[in-house]
Amino acid sequence: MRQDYTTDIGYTYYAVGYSMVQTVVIPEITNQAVDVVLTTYLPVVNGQVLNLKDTCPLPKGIKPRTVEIELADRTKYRFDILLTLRSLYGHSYSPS
Amino acid sequence: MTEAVADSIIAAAGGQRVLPTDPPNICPDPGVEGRKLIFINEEGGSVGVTMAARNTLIDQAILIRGLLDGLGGPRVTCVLLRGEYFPNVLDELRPAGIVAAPGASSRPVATAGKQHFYSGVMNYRSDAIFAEPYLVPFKIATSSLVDAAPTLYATILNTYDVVPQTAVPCSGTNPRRSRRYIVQSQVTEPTGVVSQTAEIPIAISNPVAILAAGIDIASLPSTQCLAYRGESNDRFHKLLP
Repeated sequence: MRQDYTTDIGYTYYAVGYSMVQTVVIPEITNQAVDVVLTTYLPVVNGQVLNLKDTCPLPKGIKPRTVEIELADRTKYRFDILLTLRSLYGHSYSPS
Repeated sequence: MTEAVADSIIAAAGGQRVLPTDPPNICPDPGVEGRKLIFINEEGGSVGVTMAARNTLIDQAILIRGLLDGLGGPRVTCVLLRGEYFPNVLDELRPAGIVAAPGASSRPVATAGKQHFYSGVMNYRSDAIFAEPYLVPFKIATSSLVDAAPTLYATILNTYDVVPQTAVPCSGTNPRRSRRYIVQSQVTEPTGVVSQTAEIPIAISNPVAILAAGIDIASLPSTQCLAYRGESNDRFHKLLP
């Protein structure tokens, strides 16, 4: 998004670009969860996907797994997929 | 979120969608953050929207909350206001001809190791509610043993209404944080010239006054770096009907 932005001190900056960031919390860390994010939220935004970054800091602690999507119109979407203790434990130690 | 709702939210915030054919931002300003309203829903998801101006934040928040709730998903339960941040406004605000020189330290020399503070509650005019001031606490390091305003900023604090009122601060964490300038200065201490940081709240909401306060602080020869953080409120939703 872009907008003419007026600062607290009254200065106006013309057509400054910003991202509208949407965060969706998904309790389970599975590949299906990532798929849900992509299939649910991608089709509703207009434009071509430029960057799709999946950071996966799984081994240490409970840390959000983030999917970042940047579209051709430079809109960025970030999805934080929060790990629950249960899913982290199950993912790390359960043999499959 | 549908495209129509996304566009409605952007419009409500005073913006428009960037098109692939639009020119890039030719004057990037690293580190600058616009003021934001962050809408958190009952499942913990959120939408953060940069707001173009602060004149009608409550009306805009009501409108955007309605658009998000109208999607039929989890409802918005909290709204946070995050103030704008400019990491360096000294170049813009400092008048020409100021020669750098150290100022008075806010550390009390006579009581080594013990810091005194100029503190109390001030009559603060919010970005969200202009009609009446409300009481917001402030606390600034001072060298004064009677907790008077620090010498370096005493005139500025008094000019912009950061003066203690005869009221008791509410206990507990205050979700409101006042707009403020963050100043790094060079000051004189017995050991020599050292760097010192102070946060100077601005109680007046008028942009002319906020600007004037910034110019006054930038005009101090001791000021080396000057940043600005706008008003924040972790319980902005409490202001919405």
